[in-house]
Amino acid sequence: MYYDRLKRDLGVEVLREEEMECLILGLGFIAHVPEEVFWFSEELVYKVSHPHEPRTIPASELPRPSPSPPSYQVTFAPTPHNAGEVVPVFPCLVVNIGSGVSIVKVDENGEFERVSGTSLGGGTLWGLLSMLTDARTFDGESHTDQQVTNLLIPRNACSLGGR
Amino acid sequence: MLALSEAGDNAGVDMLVGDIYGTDANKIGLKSSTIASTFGKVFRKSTTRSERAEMFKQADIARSLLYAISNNIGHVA
Repeated sequence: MYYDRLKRDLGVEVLREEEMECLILGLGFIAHVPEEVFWFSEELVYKVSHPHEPRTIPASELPRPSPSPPSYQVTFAPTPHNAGEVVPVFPCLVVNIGSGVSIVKVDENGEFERVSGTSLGGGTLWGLLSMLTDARTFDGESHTDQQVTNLLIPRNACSLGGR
Repeated sequence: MLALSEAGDNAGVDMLVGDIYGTDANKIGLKSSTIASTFGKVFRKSTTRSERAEMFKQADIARSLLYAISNNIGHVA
């Protein structure tokens, strides 16, 4: 859709690449950045929201149906020390959260298969909010530069990023 | 409500796989008629609520919601 406009208006050469292959290549790259990939846990969320308190979540803060809940820890994926070292994160599930959600199983050799997903995602949130409320933008205010960024970035984001 | 949704076409409000990848088969192997994002076509920048209400058919919204809720029940089951 933007191919012709990018070529004409910016005068750049545009190479088409397959989305999923790029995502998996990017996943391999991200895995090499120290403390970028982590195991998401309630413990981590609690540590950020209560910086001065002990690491353990009091039972009162975390109601669970089970009398003996599993204990969580902040766990960062191991970072390779040598250039050639492979991080043992495969096979893994990539949760691609965009306008909709896809859950993709990725093998060590880069093969992938969509195992689950839902059409309820960011697009649904935006759509319903814009139909039911008077909000006109996602952030509340209109940021011109932000709008440009949103146009250029495809409607997806990898949940593996640390930010 | 069911009669209303019967007259609608969810492609009016939903973003379909075909809207993203074109009509060709994509690598993930989804049909172009598969719903990629429920209500994915509704959000437009700088439109007011009343403008958006005129932009989309009630019947399309009804059908989209019926699909979304039914699919979600099926998925959870």
